[in-house]
Amino acid sequence: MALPDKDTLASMMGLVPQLSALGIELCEMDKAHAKMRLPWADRLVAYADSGVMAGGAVFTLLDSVLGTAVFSALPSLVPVATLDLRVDYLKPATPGRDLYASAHCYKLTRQVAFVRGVAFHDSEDSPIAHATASFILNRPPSHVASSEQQADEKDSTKKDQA
Amino acid sequence: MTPEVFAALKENSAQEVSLAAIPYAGFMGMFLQRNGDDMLVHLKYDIKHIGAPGRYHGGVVGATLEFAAMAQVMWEAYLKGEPVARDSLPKPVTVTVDFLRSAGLCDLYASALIVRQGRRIASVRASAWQEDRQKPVAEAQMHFLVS
Repeated sequence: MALPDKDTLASMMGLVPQLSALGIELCEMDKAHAKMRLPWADRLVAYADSGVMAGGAVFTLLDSVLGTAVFSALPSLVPVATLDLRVDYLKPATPGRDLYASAHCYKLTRQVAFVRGVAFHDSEDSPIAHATASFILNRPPSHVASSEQQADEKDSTKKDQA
Repeated sequence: MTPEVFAALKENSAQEVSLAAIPYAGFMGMFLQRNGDDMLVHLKYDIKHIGAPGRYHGGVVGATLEFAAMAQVMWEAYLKGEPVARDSLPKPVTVTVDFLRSAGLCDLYASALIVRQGRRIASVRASAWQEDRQKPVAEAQMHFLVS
């Protein structure tokens, strides 16, 4: 399946239960880049004394946007799974404010994607959290096979030339 | 995760206490159990936890691991007779989660081990599983600011 455009992917995300439960939505998508929004809600609070949202909500937003950056780096929609995700909590999110997150898939190999991103209110230059992750790409076997085949073909071409 | 919750679990280890006093934990459907000296977070299955078809969203697993770690840090402080904040929790500084298996359509559990408890920082490892504790779906390393 070819990679859907941003609006189609945004409406597909509306059907993902955890994203719709938190109201997380896709704002922007470009090749290997994505930006998403987590709207403020009182149910996100974990620190009653300060009204700050749970780290888990920030973690979920970042996992979502990093995964979407991987999707947007691929030529077609393939299932991906998070291998590992590290989040550094740089400062508390401001209570009552929407949280945004953007991510960039900076390296794509045949089987693994490497991504980084930040969560912020106004600007990426003033981040609330920073994330790095790797994702395994569950490409269909035929796709993997054809890539390997292509690689083999290239190798054999070189040999032929040599 | 108030002194009353820990007192109830110390008194009767067989019960399960809702974490609904914490808005996010209540929204997610988290419960706290005691297993010997360990706290155990029980996340009841709900369709809203799903990310990709048939699998938990990784963020939900991460959040459950984080709560298991915070519960363990606060529980051990409570057992030592240290003051337990009524309306706050340890603050995560770094959280690294390894996703080992996909989490399917059933309840999720997580518990944590404090590797080092310092004056300011607690270093914690946590594990999450579903039917078989020997087959964790995710493991995490975390650092929390505790003061």
